[in-house]
Amino acid sequence: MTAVAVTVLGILALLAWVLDPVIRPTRAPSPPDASSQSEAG
Amino acid sequence: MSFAGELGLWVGLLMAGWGALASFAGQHWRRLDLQDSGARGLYATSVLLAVAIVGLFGALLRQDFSLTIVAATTGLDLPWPYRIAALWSTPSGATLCLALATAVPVALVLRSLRARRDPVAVRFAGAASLLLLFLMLLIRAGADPYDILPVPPVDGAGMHPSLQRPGMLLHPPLLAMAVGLAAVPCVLALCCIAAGHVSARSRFHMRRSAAIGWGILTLAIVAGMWWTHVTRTAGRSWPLDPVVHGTVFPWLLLGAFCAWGGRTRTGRWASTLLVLPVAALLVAMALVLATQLGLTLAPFERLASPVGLVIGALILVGTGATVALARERLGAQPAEERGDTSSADSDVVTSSIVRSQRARQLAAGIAVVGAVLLGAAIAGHLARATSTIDLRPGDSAVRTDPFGREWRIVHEGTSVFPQANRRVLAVGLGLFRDARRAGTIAPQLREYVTAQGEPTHEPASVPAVRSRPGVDVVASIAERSAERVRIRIDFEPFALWAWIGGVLLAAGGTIYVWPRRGVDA
Repeated sequence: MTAVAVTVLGILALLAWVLDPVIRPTRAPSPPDASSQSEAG
Repeated sequence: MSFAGELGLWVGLLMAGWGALASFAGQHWRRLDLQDSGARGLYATSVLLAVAIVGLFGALLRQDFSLTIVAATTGLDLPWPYRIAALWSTPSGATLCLALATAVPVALVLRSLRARRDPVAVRFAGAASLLLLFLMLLIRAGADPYDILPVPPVDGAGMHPSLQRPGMLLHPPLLAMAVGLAAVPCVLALCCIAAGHVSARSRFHMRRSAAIGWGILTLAIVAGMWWTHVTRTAGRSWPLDPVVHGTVFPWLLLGAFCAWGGRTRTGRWASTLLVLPVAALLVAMALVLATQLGLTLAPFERLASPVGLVIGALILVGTGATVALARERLGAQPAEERGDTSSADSDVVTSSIVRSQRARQLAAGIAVVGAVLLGAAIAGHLARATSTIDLRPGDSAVRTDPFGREWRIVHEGTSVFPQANRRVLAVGLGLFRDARRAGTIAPQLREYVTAQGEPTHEPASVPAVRSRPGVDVVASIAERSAERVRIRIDFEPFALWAWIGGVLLAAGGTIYVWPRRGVDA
């Protein structure tokens, strides 16, 4: 029973890893915010 | 364990499909997220194929007779190496091994191409996933390796006697590894043709995988020839073994690519020669397909059958289309950038060229010596002397080998004994040359039995071989009655050189065609 649970969990984790780029798309870094720049300055 | 394996096989099939779909969609719509996910799909397929194989290995080693593959190919007394070999004794199991042997090099090459941001990587991920999908569909279409019997038997049917030989442990896995490696240059060549550009990195990977694949294919062919030599299957000639099984055709095509295809980087031939690995893999896949369909005839007979004609026509059309596409898309290749080397490294490169030039000359010499030894062994085989002798215990007979030397063969007695999963009848034969004892050999007649002592197959004759550099003496039991035994004696000059020569040819040839990073590609 434990082996079955570990297998199912392992395969689910693998599926999540494969689909991760689509679910959480990597975005290009957004241009620096003007207000935060002035705060930093 | 079996559950994990079966689940791995099903999810692996889905992942291969996803890898192809996401990669091609990502290429079409220029979406990085899909491209990343497609590549991960291919990596996941490799892992899941490994899980599927480990599941089957576990079932075979634990002797879980509830699985059809275990019950049909093994038995309680089967020695453990053959329990593992049982995996590739069935067409589905062999294709599963081939799928893993393809997935691993393909995943490693994809990782390297992605690390260098090679533009061909996305197409490569898609095309390689398609190939894996094809192989996994082939497994699904055939007998399911995880098929479960309604009532598990107490003992299995046992492995066929002809497969319970050391050749079975070497030849099929080497062949799967070679074909898997040959998939890399084929898929990369097709992707480069589609992209209209061959990058230095792609060429390097094509050449390296082809070189290793060719070397392993050479070893596989030599192992197959040795297997035929020591088993004397239906009196088949061992030099013809690669022709009968068709392995010589991909070997020649891959060898031609290693020798010329990788080196020729400019001009019209550069693009045309990319067809060689494609044709090699098409032929190899046709042979896999033929085996999966149960066509175990020689390739020439296969070609005469309707299925063979269709497969042959597909190979020709595929090869022709690749040549036409390559010429149109790639045309004459311009001189291209040289791999990873910058001008600052030029001194290091020059000294490494000199060093590797020497190594390549040495490797070429080794390969030529190997080829000459193999040729001598084949010539020796053509000059072999075969005869049969009828002997009773204590009798002797004189036979002459191809060198004109006389051998006296003496029947020194028969012994019957149990061994692992068989009852063995061995006939002791004393070999005398010029009145001096040259050795003793004992050809056997093996009756394979279950743990309960019931025969599983017809008794099998297992030859005995006395192997020496000059001549191999092979004795096998042809017939046996209560009083006498009929022995077939083969004198094969230089047979031992074939195996040494084959290994030298594989090693020397691989080093000779090995691409040098920053020099050849």
